[in-house]
Amino acid sequence: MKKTVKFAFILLSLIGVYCMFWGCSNNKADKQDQLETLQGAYTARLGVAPLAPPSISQYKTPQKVIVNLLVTEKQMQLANGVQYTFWTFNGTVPGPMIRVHQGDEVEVHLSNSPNSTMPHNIDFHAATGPGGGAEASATAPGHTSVFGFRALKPGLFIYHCAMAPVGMHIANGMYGLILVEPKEGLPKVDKEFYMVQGEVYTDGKFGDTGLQHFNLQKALDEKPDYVVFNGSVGALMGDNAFHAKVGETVRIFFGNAGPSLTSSFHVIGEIFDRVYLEGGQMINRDVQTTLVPVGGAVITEFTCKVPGYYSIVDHSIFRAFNKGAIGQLEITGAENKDIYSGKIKDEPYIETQSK
Amino acid sequence: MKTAIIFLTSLFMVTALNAQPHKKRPLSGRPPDMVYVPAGLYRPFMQQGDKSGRVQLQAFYMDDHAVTNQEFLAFIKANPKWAKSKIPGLLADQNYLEQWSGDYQIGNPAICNSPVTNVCWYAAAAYAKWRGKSLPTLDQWEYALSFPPVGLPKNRSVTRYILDWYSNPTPEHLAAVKTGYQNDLGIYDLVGSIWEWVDDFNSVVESGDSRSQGSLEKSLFCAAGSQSAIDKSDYASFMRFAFRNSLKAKYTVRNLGFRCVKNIN
Repeated sequence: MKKTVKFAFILLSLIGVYCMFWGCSNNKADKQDQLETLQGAYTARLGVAPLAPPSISQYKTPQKVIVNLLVTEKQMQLANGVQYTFWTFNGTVPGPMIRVHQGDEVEVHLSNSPNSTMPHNIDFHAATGPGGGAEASATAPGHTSVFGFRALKPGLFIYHCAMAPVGMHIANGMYGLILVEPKEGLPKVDKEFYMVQGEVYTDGKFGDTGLQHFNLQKALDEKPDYVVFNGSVGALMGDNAFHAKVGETVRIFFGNAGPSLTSSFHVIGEIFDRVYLEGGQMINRDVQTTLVPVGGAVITEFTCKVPGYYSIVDHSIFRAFNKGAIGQLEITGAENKDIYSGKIKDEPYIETQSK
Repeated sequence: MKTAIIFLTSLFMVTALNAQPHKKRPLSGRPPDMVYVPAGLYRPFMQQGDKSGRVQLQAFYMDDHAVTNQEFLAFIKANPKWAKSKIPGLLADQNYLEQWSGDYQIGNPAICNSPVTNVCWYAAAAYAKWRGKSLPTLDQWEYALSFPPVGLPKNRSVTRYILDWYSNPTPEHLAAVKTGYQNDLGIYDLVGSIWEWVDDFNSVVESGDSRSQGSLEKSLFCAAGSQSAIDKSDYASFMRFAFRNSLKAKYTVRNLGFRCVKNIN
């Protein structure tokens, strides 16, 4: 009996000691959340689609990164002969790509042009705080709001306007990507491209010329006539295609702004070496098509091996060939017949008599 | 079942709201350039707390057009302390009357008869007082808008008209007043040209009322899904509420003007 009591006592103290340590280690985890002191400040160089901003290496993180954004509402080409009044960050759709490092403080200066008809704001999915900054950044025409957030988590994130009615502000072009690199930066690649998928809901059908207005009913039905990359049909085609050379490694920063349709992101004729799933830290290898949710993003990487034109699509394929969700990558360089032969022969097919 | 009846009844009442016959305008006493807005029930777009959903409004007079640059110039001449160079920074931001060439000159004959914009709430309220009027309350303004339009094609709803307006950036020169949208009371340009100040533009946000602070903001921003709006597809109303919510009284905006009302006692 005595023995049992003694044993129980020892057991309890052990548990107690364990709990103390466990508690301690928990506190340690909490302490890791304490923010490092900022080492300096600089104004971000922004990437204008389809180019990603350059990676800034060899500086001490974390820094204060100042991001200047100007909202303008302007008519731009949606497709050949089709105009649409886009609402933009910095005059382009998508808005600029922003590149910071984990731990940085992002200080956003959001100005709304005096010519705007609407108030606008911005919701950063990379931010931790109410509305991702939406409430802090609500800005009347002719005014500027300033707010800041710490980039706590690395990854590729969407930002978008979140002023009511949100869906309309997004459909009208108010979105872009912010990359939060890990402190040590992403591995180097030869080429980096920036593209965002978005839907446009117009009164007219796909291709109906002239100035098209936003169609509320189609938006509510989630039935867009346009699903486009980088704001217009053909924004990444022909002269505007991505370019790379055989042997180069390519990284695509891809976002899906929606507002409604999930994207099945695919490069026809390539297999992704690496996919940062949903723009986060998990890497999948050897992927054909990756699913990108609305309000989500993905980083894909592959190596250019065979020259030619490669189509970049949302593999919900009617969107690609009938609604605009198609771009091109042109790879130039030496053929590699061992990997891909091309057509070797074309001959008549003769049905053999079976008897 | 009971719920169903209540629902149906309220549905009926809503439909009946605007169908009320307009009471005859009083023959005398109507101020010039103002329109008689009959008393009636009005259902605010943003429903809050346990409000029954309807507001009873008394009859009032409303300006048939937004205050023009020319009219506002008369006010400035009579009240020089509101001139561009004299107004304190506390009361107006630096774009105040930006479209004018000087303290007492508009400078551009093309805009004399266009709505005055780039005016802060304080100046708008002072103008109204000077005219023996006041700024409309949010309820009065929205109630006036609820009267049916004149001359819109049948397939073009008011919401639709407003969305089309919004999809064009603000033009270089605003059109003259009384050339656009008109409702059957004879009030012009409530929509289609400019936004307008209301007396309590941010009351829903700033009042000490417990229903306020969070609720309107939440309904205007992404997260909360705008549960308090009576019609979630009424994008035009969302925009007006979002716009008003983004303002402070000293703000001036290129497409924000005002008109006045006169209450009837």
